[in-house]
Parts: sequence; C-alpha cells; structure tokens
Amino acid sequence: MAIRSFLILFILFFFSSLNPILSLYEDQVGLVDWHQQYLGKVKQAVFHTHKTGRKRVVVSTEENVVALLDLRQGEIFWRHVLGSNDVIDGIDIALGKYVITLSSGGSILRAWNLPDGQMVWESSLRGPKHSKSLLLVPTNLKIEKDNIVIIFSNGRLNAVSCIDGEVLWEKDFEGESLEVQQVIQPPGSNLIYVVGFASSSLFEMYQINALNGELLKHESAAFSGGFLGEVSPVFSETVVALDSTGLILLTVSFQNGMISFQQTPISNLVKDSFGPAKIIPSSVTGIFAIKMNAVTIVIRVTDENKLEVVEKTNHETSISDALPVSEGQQAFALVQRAGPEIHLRVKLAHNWDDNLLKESVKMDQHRGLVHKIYINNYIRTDKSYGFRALIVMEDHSLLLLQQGEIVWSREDGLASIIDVTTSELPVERDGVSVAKVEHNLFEWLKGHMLKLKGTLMLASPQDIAAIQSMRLKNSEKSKMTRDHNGFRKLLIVLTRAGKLFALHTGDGHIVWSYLLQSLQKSKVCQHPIGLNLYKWQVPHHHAMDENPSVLVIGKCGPSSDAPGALSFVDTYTGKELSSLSLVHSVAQVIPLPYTDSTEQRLHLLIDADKHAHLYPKTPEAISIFERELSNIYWYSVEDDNGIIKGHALRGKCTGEVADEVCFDTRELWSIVFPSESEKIIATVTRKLNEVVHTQAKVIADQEVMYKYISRNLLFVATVALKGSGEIGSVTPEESWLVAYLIDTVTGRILHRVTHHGSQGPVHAVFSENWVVYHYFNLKAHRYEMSVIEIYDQSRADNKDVWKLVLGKHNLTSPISLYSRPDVITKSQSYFFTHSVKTIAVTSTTKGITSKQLLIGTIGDQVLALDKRFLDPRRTVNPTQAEKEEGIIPLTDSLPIIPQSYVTHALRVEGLRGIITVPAKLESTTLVFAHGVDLFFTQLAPSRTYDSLTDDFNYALLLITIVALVAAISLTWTLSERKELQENWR
Amino acid sequence: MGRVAPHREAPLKVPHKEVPLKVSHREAPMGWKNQELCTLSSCHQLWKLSNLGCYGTHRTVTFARASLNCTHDFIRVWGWVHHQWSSEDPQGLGTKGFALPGKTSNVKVILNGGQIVTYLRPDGYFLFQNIPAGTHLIEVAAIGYFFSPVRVDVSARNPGKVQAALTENRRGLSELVLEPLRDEQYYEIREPFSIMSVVKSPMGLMVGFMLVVVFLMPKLVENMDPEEMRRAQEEMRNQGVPSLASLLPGGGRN
Repeated sequence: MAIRSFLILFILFFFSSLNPILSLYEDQVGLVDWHQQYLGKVKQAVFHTHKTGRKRVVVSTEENVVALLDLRQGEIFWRHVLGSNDVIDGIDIALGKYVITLSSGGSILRAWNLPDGQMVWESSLRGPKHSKSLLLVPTNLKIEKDNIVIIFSNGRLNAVSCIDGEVLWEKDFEGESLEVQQVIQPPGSNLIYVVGFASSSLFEMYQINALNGELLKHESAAFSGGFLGEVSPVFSETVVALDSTGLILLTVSFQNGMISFQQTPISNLVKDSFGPAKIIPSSVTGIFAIKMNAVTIVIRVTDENKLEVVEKTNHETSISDALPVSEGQQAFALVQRAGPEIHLRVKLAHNWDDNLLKESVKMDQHRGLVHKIYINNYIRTDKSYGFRALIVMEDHSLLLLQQGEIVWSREDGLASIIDVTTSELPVERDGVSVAKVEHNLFEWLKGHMLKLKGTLMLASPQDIAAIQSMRLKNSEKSKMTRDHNGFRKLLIVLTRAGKLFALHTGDGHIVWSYLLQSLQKSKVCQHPIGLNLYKWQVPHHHAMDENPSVLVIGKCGPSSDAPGALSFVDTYTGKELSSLSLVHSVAQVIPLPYTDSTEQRLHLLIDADKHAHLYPKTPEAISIFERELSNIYWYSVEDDNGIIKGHALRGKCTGEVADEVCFDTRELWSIVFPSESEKIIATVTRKLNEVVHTQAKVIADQEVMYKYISRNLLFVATVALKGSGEIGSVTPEESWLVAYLIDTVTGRILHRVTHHGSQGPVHAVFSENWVVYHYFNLKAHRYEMSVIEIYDQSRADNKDVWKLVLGKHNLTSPISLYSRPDVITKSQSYFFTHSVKTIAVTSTTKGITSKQLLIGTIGDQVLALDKRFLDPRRTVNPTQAEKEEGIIPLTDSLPIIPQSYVTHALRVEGLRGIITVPAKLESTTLVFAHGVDLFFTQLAPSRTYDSLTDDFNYALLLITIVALVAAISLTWTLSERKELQENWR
Repeated sequence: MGRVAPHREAPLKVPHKEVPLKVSHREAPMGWKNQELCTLSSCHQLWKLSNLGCYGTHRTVTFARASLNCTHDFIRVWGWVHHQWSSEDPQGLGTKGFALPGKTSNVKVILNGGQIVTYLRPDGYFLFQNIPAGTHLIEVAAIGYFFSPVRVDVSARNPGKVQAALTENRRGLSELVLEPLRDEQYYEIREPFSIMSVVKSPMGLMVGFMLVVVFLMPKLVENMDPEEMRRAQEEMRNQGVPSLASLLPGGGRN
C-alpha cells in the first residue's frame, strides 16, 4: 500500500513539474526563432560622409521606411516605419545633423536626429489644393543663422526653419489650373524660381525672395503646342519640357524674367525616332535624358540652348543625381546592364567625353536591371577622387559598389512579400549535400556536461557563453535535408518585384532566389503584378523522384481583364520549369482536391468572363476533372456591388475556339446585400488544408456535441455604409456590423448576428467550426473580439449507447449540403485592448493539439492567445465539472500576457501577414510573420508533449542511469556477500 | 473589471511631487508654437482653455495640456507620453534625461488604429493635427510597456473642449498624459537553482524513489510477519537470483 502511495506521489510530482505557462526564457532567444530587418525598395538616398570616420547613408523607401545605414556593412543604425498612408515624398539632410522627411502628400514635415533617429520636430503643412510635393534643402540659404527648408506642397510654398520646424513664411499658388513642376533655387542666390504649367499651354514662372517669400516677378508665356509630363531643369534658369505630342523638345529659358521657347523636334536629333518620348528628370547641369520605348537618349544642352545627342542606347540606363565634386563642378553617374555585368561610368557634367571612372561589375542575373543609382565621392590616399555607388536593382535589392566590387548587398525585396507557401526539403540520402555535423562522443558529452553545469548554476561566465553559442550555432537546424520532426522546411515567398525566394526555416538564410521572367516588365506586359503562389506538385508515394514545384500566378496590369501569366518553379533547384502567358484573365484560382499521377494538383482558373480553365492541360487531368465536374462549387464576392454569388460548372466551353480545358459556368445562387445599409468589409473561409481531428467534442457532463464541420462555410461581415470609414467617424446609433455564416454550395445563410453600435475594420479567422472576429465597439469605444461556434444538431441525439450498439444512429448517413442542416450556434464577445492588423490560427498535422490565435497587433507584435479564452461556453462561475474540462471563468476582456507574445521583445515592423505551417511533430507548428521585417518561430500551443524539449539534459539522464546501474550492482554484490555470510553462519 | 492585474508593480515613479514652482506661462513644445495657433483668429482663448495641469520634476516643469483646438475643421490633439526614461531627469537638462538613447525614438503614437502614426519628441510630446471632431482612439506602441488605449472626444460644438479616458479602466484623464499601466516582461525569469527543482525533475524523482526503496524497504521488511518473511526468502532462494521484481509493488504484495 505504502509503495502504491509513493507511486501516486511520484506521478503527482511529475505532473506538477510541468509548467503550464508557455513562454520563453531570455537565453532561448534565437534558438528556434529568427528575425530579419529590411527596408523595401529605396526611393531616395542621401549620403552623409562629411565627417571622417562615420560613413552613413539615409534612405527612404516605398515601404514608407526612413532609415540610416552604415555605409561600410549596410547595417541599419536606426529605422522608422511610418504609417501605411504616410508615403514619403522626399528626404534630405539639413544642418548636417537632421534628417528631414516630407510625407503624406507633402503635409507632414519631420526632422529626425541623424545619429539616433529621435524625432526632433514635426510640422504640419497645409495648402489650398492637391499638388506635387517638392522638398528643397538649400545649404547656403540662411536667415539669422537658421537654415531654411523650402517645401512646395498642396499648392503652397513654405519656408520652414530647420531648428524647430516653424513656418517662416508661406505663399499660395492658387491659380486655377496651375500645376507647379519644379522649384529651382540657383545656388548662391536668395531667389527661388517656381515654374509650372497653367491650362496646359501656359508656362508660368514665379521669382520669389527666399528670405521673406516676397513675389518678385511673375511671368507667363503661352505655347500653342501644350506641355506633356515633367520638366527637367538643365540650368538654374532653363528647363526642358516636351510638347503635348511628345515629339518636340522645348528648351524654356526664363533669364531676367523673359520667357523664351526654343523648339527642337526629336526627329532632328535622332534619325529614327519611335513615337512619343518621356523626359527622365535629372538634376545634372546641362544634361537630361529622354526615353522612347526602349531607347534612352542622353542629351546635352549647350550654352546657347542648343541640344546635342551625346548617347543613344538600347540598354536601360539610370542616371544619378548631380554630385558637386569641386568648385563649380558636378559629377554624375550612368549605369547600364549588359548581360552578366553592369557598366558604371562617372562623368563630369560639362565634360561628356571623358570618364572619371569606368567600371564593370559582375552582377547576379537574378537581380535584373539597375533601377536607381546614387553616387558619393571620397578622397583616396593619393588625393584623387574615388566614387562609391549605391544601386537599386529591379528585384529591389540595394548594393554598394566601390572599386569595381560589390561591398555589400541587402535583399530589400523581402520587405514586400505578396504570398508565402512552404516546401519540404529533400530527403537525406547519398548524393544529397548535407551540412557537416561530425563530432565525436567526447565532444557531445562535453557539451552536455557544460549544460549540466549550466543547470546546476556552476558554470562560469565563459562556460555560459560557450553554452549559448553552442545552442545558437547548432548546425543541425540549417541542414539542407528533411528532418524527422518536420521543423526544417523551405519558405517560398513571392515579392512585389516578381522575385521568388526560398528561405530556410532553420536560420532564415536564402537558399535560392529567382527573378521570374513572366513577372518582368516587357513589351507585351507593361505592368506585371504577382498575385499568388500555390503548391503545384507535392511528390509523395509513387512520384517520389520528382522535385516539388510551385505555381506562381501573375497578371499584366491592374485591370480585372488583364491577361494572366503562370510560372512553374522547382523548389529544390530554384529553376523555372516552364512559364505560360495566358490569353485569358485570372479572377480567381481554385486549387482542386485532385492530383494526377505525377502528383500535380489540378487548379481551376476563373477568368473575368466567368469561364473556368483547367490546369495542367493534360488529357489525364481533364479526365479526372470531368469525373468530378458536378462536385465543384465556388463562390465569388463583389465587394462594390455587395453581392456574393455561388457558381458551378456547366460543361465544355461553347462558342469561341474550342479549348479542351475551358469550361462554362453557371450561377447557382446570389445573395444581394442592401447597398444602402450594408457594405461587405470582410470575408473569410477555412484554410483548405486544415485538418480536423474529431468532429465530436465531449463536454463536462459526459455529453457530446458535434461540430458542424464544412469546408464550404463562408464568414461575411458587413457594416453600415456610414460606418465603413475610420473608427470613431460615426456615432454608435448610425453604425452596425452584421456577421453572416453562409454555406457556399447552397447559398444558405446559416447564422446571422448584428452588433449594434459597432464598426470595422473587421479581422477574422475561420477554423474548424468556429470563427473569431475583431471589430470596434463604438458604444464602449473599445475593440471587441467575438467568437461564433457552430454545432450540428442532427447528430446530437446519438448519445444513447443502445442506439449505437443497435446501429440506429445516423453517423454513417451521408452528409449533403442540400439537406437542410440542423445547426445551433453559440457565441460570446470580449473586449480586446489593441488594434489588430491580422489574425491567424495555429495549425498542426493532425489537429489534435489545442489551437492558439495569433494576433498581429498594431504595435507590430504577434500575440498568441489560447482559443480557450474565446470559448462561448465560458461563464462567470464555471461548475467544478466545467473547470475540469478547462473552461476559464468569464471576464469581460481578453488577457494580454506579455510572455505570450511570440515575437517576444521584437517587432515585425509593418506587419502584414502571419502564416502557420504544421510541423511533422503534432505538438508543434511553425509560424512565419512578414511585413517590412520577417520573423519565424516554432510554437507548441499545448507544449511539446510528444518530444523532449531542447533543454532536456541527456547527460543528467545518462548519469542517473549509470548511477542506478552502479547502485544495483553494488547492492547485488552486497546482498550476495551477506547471503554467503549468513549461509556460513 | 476584466483588466488583468499587473503581474508585478509597475516601476513608475510619476513625479507627482508638487514642487513650489515659479509657474510661468510656458509655451507649447518648441516648434509647434505659432504655426497656426497664432495665425488663426479663433485661437485667442486657447491657452486659457487648455491650461489643465502641471507636472514637474524638481527642476523642470512641463505643462501637459489636453488639447488645443483652432477652428472647427482643424483640431490638434497633443499630449505627453510619460514614461520613466523621459520623465526622470534629475539633472534638469533637456537632453540628459535619455539614459537609454534611442528608446523614445521607438515609441509610436497611433490614432484610430493606424489612421495617423506619429512619434514622440525628445521631451515625450506628441501631436496629432487636422483631427476632425468626434471620438478618437489613441494607442501607444512601446516595446516593454503596456499602455491603455485612450478615448479622446473632440467636441464639435465647443471648440477646445476635449475629454480623454483610458479605455482599459475607464479612468478619466484630466490631461492627456499617457502613462504605461505596467511594464511588460516578455521573458520568463529563470528560477535560480534550488534543490527542489532537482528533486522535482524526473531524474530527481527516480533517484528519490531509489533512495526510498533502499532505505524504507528494509524497515517495511522488518515489520513483516516472520512467517511471511521466511516464505519470501524461500521464494527468492528458489529463483536463485535476488529478484528486484519482488521489491516492486507487484512483487511486494505476494
């Protein structure tokens, strides 16, 4: 009996040692997680290299990032990700210590302290009308020791003090149709020229005193031909423009207040001109460039305003801004791509024929063309000028070139991920490259002894450092083969630049990258857009020898009827297998639950004309598809009209050219929301690959509830038309939010609930039989999260054991969505503190592990919230039975436990999406959060119950076993000796 | 209230020391003055309306005014994010207070879930301009601190009238001074080594169990009926090897 009680005690102890809180110790950071910081495609770069020693560059990007980079390594000193609608219009450095940014359409001007990124001042600029935004930081313009910043924005010219952001003077340009094109400040003078067009054929010039904003002169001159697009300043009092046909270049000079035009037809300059040209503005004195189709022409303006072609090239050419090198001299750079190399030339503005620098740099083909170049000079040891160039490539990467070498490169394309999917790594076998993980038993034991010392707090600081580096440098995790637990995978990401990257989940390194030709600008496809990634081929079983591949879907241009483009990429090698330019558009892509004999998944592409196209276009796929023709349903959402429609297939396409894989569709049902009172703001469905372990849910009093699990459920949230704006813009009385659960096969509304006094934005996640959504409650003025769970009542009476024994249950009866479902829903709402950017839910291989919601908060952190907190069966005082079941007492708001932030003390700046992928180990799920930054970690929502944690001390176990064996043998010999003695006695 | 109780006391030392100060009329933070406050005519009584309170450490004094309003169309809401790294300024020097450089620069102040995002000035001030009348929500995102969102009601009828309240505990704010409710500890604290943790670990339990068997079993055996003992010993002898199984629960009972 006593022994039994010991055993019970033992078990109790064992369970009490399991800590129920899921969180991280500080020294575990970086063991399974990684965090990468990016910037986005650089829009503008300003060097700060005046002081000796510190070489830095300030950049602004298309992801609204302003950052200071180290010019030596390309590391980020500081970085700010501005709000999503706070687009940066211009940056510059003022007084040598402030970074000035103009953003939000020229309405916000901020100054940041250059060394540490602290905001110093902020000014709001307003004006009478929308216009171009221009930022000018003249270095020599001073009012009482104060430098001024000249800003033209919203039809108003402002001069702002550099020191405190105070507006010194302002001047409105309210002319009805005046479009200001350039603000020019001739160096060394106190004048500002504002030039622009009015009523499309009038050239306007204003001369303003920079010190007080006084209008000195206003001239205008008409040009009958009209103007087109931008102007390029060539001299301080001369600009170049194009006439409205784009065939004649106009040199407009406004010296001494006299406006004179000089026309030069482009055909006079170039023999074979090809239609309308476009000016590429440059700030280089006397030089500008025009572009006609693919031809770039660099033109020099002579002192007599004569134009001369100095270069004509078929290569895409980028020209840098002017860089003052010495007294009155300007240097600029031209860069072109030619095959595997890029050619960089640095020239002086007034001397085209000589090159200051001519270099060729080998460049990875998958970086594409050079989009932008910024140059900076330094003085070499022999007192000559050296140049370094910062270049932005077509794939949005940023590189620094110096002395014909790439000094550093940043893969900033990863800041704008469009879609993510995963791929398995190759199976470990001969011939597959494997990272070296050779180490002998002694080393292994030594490592574990160190660990043991660590746990017993006997380790010296050096030991602790050794332990930490040993854990972080675990080469096991970045191996290029599949592991037993499925932690090592490839994350395949598609970026906005049309580049595909494969990231290793172990440490986040780039395994391969591929610039997709189908998503590059070409003659047929002017504005290609990447849309989605799908798993095209996931080989297993009989097609084991094939490599897995992904399908990339894109389209040409933003319109809905733009033709699509497909690309198939091998995920092991990173090579494009094939690509297709489609004749039809892509409105919707439906991965079907069927695969052909080579494990290629069948995909149905729906075009704008509601025709369905099947891929792959093989006879085998068609025969599989035709068998299942009547079982395929889908829905479409038309947000603008407030209509949700259900569709099915009818048969082969009729009419046009008979295409084997084209199918006609028919509309099954439609739900029209009243346009005056409801606007669709969110729709969400279950993930296609989600696994549900069991339909039954056993509740406290031995009762069973059956989850209503259907892949065809759609959650729709609509708000009142007035409430579709920003939060707080309506009163609670005039806003409401309606949540629907719709069956997408029949169009039946299974559930509808109205939240009065609430509004969007709605973020929702659908999993198993529940949906959780986040919205704003205007009455309480707090965010709320609601959960709806849906249960199948038709099976609820299968509780009787006798019924089951006698086979009178209906568990085996087929489920048809056409039979009227008998469902009940349960729901509950809770307050939630933060604004939310995105919500996801953890997913595991078998769906046994309990779920956690992953909430991307406004602070760019990811919070893991147990689903048990969003259980509609929570009550204020749960009964004993309910407590045992794990029901948490009801509180009015959801708890935010700092330890459950999966991103711990990091931020995933500009967070956009969270993706969860099941590992092979049931308890574990892989989480990838992306925005401007990338973050990856492993999560175990119910702790790792099926494997030993990384912390597990094998040495201690070994020692215990050895000790036990020793003790056993010792006691045995002792007992034998005793027995012998007793026998002798 | 459903608010989660702070797991530990927030280490906030709000400088509530009401120091006798020569309170002079201090202007709005540098750089915001005169911008449109003074160019617009309807702003005369602004400073009177908004002069709500005074906070200060022993040498610096800072007025935290809830908000200012110039016209019906354009309202500026500004406040002060009060956190330890900007408020504790023992030297009284504006820049000396940054014991943790770059930390204030990582604080974002967010209006209406991302409609406007702004940053803190070195002294902790923030400002939202061009805010329409209505009810707004201000959130502060700072790593390591938990700030309650603040509901701000900007009155349309009564220019300059602004009310603010924390949404987490519905506490009204007389001035828009935002303070963290608590600081956030993202990592578990490693418990220092203790005998209990070793004893409680599975290996410790195994060793403990062994010890129990070794030391307590003989005692149990002693208490056994001599008859039974002899029988057990006989059995043991029959098996030849002193079987450990007989010591285990199953064997012990026969």
